[in-house]
Amino acid sequence: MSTDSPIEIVDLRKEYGSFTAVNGLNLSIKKNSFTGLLGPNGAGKSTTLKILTHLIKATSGEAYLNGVDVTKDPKAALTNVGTVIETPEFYPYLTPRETMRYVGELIGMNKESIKTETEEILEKVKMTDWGDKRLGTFSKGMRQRIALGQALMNDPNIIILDEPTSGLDPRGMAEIREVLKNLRNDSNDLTIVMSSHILTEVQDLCDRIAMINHGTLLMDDDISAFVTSHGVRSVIAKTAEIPTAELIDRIGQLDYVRSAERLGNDVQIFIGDSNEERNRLFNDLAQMNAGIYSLAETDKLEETYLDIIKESA
Amino acid sequence: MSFIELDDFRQAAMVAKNELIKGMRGKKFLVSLAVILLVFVLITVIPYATGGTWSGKAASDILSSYLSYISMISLLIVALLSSVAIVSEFEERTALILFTRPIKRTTIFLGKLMACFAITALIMLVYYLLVTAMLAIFAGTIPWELIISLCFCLLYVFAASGIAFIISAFLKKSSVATIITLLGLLMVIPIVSTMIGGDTWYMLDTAGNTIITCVPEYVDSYNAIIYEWVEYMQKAIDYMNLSGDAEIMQVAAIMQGMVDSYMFGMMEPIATPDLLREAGILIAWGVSAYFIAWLKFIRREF
Repeated sequence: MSTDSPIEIVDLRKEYGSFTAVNGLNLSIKKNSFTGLLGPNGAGKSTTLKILTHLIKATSGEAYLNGVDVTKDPKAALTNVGTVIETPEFYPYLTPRETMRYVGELIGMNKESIKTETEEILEKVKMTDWGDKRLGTFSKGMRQRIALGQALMNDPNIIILDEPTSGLDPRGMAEIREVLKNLRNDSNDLTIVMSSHILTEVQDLCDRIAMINHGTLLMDDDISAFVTSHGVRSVIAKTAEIPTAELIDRIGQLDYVRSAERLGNDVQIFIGDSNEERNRLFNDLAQMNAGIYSLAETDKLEETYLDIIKESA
Repeated sequence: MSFIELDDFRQAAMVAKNELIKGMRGKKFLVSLAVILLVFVLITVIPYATGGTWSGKAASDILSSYLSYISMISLLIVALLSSVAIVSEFEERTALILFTRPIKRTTIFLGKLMACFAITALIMLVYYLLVTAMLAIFAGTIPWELIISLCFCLLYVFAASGIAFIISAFLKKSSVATIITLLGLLMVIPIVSTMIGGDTWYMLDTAGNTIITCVPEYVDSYNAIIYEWVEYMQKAIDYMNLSGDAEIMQVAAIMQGMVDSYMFGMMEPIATPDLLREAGILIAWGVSAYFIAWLKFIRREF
């Protein structure tokens, strides 16, 4: 296995009767990357992550964590791995400090390390003041911060997250994202894989994206390459009045504009991906004096995502 | 990868410790203790309420009174505490934390088994200590049958917990697992034993009855009641047969069938148990049940 890929998946398959959830998936996660695992519902993201965390067994194939095949020796493979799969629940009769101690004891940490790390982690996830309260009384957001905290015990070099903000309110989501951002920025040796449906979250946190659908890999690249790969930028021009056919025609005749069409009371304009074309469009529309008062790019990640999913369907 | 390592036992002890904390802090533990205490208080108080007393009673009588219901109570406690051991990890999603750690499923299973047995044994021990106190106060002696009974009670709890673990490993809801365990242990197995009839020494409930049948005086007094009933019934049947009335003789024939079958097996005299054999049966039930539960547990997916 490559030392540059702490997570390596080789020809992984998972079948439930006649349904194939993961269909010969091959994926290498770069060392020290924060990879967003994207794909529609039923694409095989969660199944893949559950195989990696030994919650389910693969039908065939291999899944390496730090060079150890989790399908063959899960205990050794998960030794230096922290996980938050969906929104796990805790033993409600335990406090966060007791939970950390339990996890620390399970993975063989000594008492001193458990104590020191617990305090550091509670600080990181901003739960120090709640360390001795029973988890049964916590909100979902607080429990998820503790879930993230327990995943950090023993300073793992791999963290696997399956929709870590799912089901949280906006504040809870923001808190988890902040913790993840700090993790990404503060760690020198940490590889994170996170599945999510929230594209803005992926764009905000991840530096790489792996897209899967029907259990196979569609794309695995840097996030910058992902959003420019189709080479087209979509801009929405808002007009004071309903855009006329003549205006749309004039815009469409600009030599660098790929196409222009009416979109409700706005005009959607497709141009190339370069900044030069964007600047030229801005100037040209201003000179047209057509009552355009706003120009905004549409969400490129979403567009690209939808395009790739459409192509793979 | 070796099958089992030294570290696995350390981890199993950690899981057991956590399960013990869970058990001790849970309501079911308090309910179980309350049930045990309530039964003890009722058995102690009822003789006084009906004008009797414990003073002057033989140790075997006191022992028989307190142990009569213990197998049923131990099953109730097993159903409350052991039936949720596995299913709750999946239902309450705590498996997402525990199972994703570097720990073998077998280790988790072992830890849970140890903890469930320890908690149930602790509750039963409380009851036996109270009975010991009663014997010391009113009989001034502690018969050795009490120790044998305690050993069989612990073996019964071990075996019955195995059945509870099987149900827990297969089901998805804790509440359903508890109800099915309760019905299975308290109704289905005894019904099957009754239907089989004869000396069902190999059945879980029969082997479990050694808790009380290990007291020879209990066996003698129980059988004496049955033989007395048989004698009275036989006299009645003989009298009816003398009448010469065809209809009465027909009823007598039905009654004779009931007497001969000891009320279709429901009033069978108890045989003095072979202690070694019954202990072996309980261990065999337990080991087989845990093996099936373990097989399902290590394959169960989230």
